[in-house]
Amino acid sequence: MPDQEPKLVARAQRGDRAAFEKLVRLHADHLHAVVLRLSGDRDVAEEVTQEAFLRAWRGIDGFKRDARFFTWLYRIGVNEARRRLQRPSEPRPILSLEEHPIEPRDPGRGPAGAAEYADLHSALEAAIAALDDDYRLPLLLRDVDGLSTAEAAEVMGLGEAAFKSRLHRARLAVRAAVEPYLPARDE
Amino acid sequence: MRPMLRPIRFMRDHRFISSHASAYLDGDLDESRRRRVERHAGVCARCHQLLESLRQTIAALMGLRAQPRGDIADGVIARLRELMAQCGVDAILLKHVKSAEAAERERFLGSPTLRVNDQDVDPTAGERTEFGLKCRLYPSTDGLRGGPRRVRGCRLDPSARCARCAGWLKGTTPTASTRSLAPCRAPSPRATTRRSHSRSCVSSAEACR
Repeated sequence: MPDQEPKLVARAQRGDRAAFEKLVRLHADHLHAVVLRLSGDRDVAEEVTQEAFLRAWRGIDGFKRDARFFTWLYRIGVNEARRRLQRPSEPRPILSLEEHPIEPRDPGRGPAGAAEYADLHSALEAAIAALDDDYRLPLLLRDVDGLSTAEAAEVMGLGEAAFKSRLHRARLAVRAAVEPYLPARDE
Repeated sequence: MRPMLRPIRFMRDHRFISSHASAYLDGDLDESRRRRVERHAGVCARCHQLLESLRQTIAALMGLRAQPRGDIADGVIARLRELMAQCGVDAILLKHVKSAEAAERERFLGSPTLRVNDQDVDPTAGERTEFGLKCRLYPSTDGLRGGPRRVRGCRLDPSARCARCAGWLKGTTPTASTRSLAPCRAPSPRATTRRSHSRSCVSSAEACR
């Protein structure tokens, strides 16, 4: 994360809204991406992201600077997303690859390779969506969003050992679901 | 190792890899455990396949990382500004008063001190001279409280959409050790809120009209 973040947080705590807006620009996309995969709905994800930042703004005086701002922010966002998902009147749709396409990172394998890649990603999306939240979140934070184990555990309020255990189980579940789509290596 | 023990050791290594495959791939194992995994995976096709497929799965998960959309922050910032405008807040300024001399200079009556358009929220404050780094209480119908229930000249009310303002005006005032009093914040200075607490953590905030 950028070195400027602690200074921006300090300024925001003194009431500098421009500094807070810079923090928004630093983290909004990443938080939105995590919340989108948790909620499975773009509108809900945007609302949750907005609400998370509003809560962060209201509560930034209480943020202790020995913690990392973005893990604190993610925690607010994740809690808000979970609150939304617990509402029975709001069924959670499953992301489809057609509606939410993901560009292959390795398109150099020709049409057949790209098709295989799309199959793998469809299977991944379905496998992630099928996970319980307690297992999906570690996977999203650590593997998809790229947080370190310590950061992701902090977001979830878990010890690292408990976090790693959940992450491993989640990975094994996803691996089992996508294994038929993985490219053969020993050829 | 004696030949009879080899199958037992093999099965133990098998289970070890099943439970430590992620730790191995994340580089979290110490040298001896890492060698144990590699030695076993070298002779066990099933464990080799587990590690390889798990590695590919993690790589594929990393490939799902969304490209930044770029417009999410714009929406959040627009919403923040909209709420500030609804609250009628023009600016908040937090000011830290760190010494008795500064308290005297700032005519600081204690924490929290709130000023709106440079006027203390307590109409009698202008007549008082007991400046210093200390806690400040405000009279209310329920007795003394850690913050004012109403602010002169502030058009906010408890039903305001800004929960921070609403919470403040509803009387959910902070204790001396909290730093959550400032109602909300916005760009151009017009009103001032000040506060401090006994360990000389003093601040002021421009609040609402």
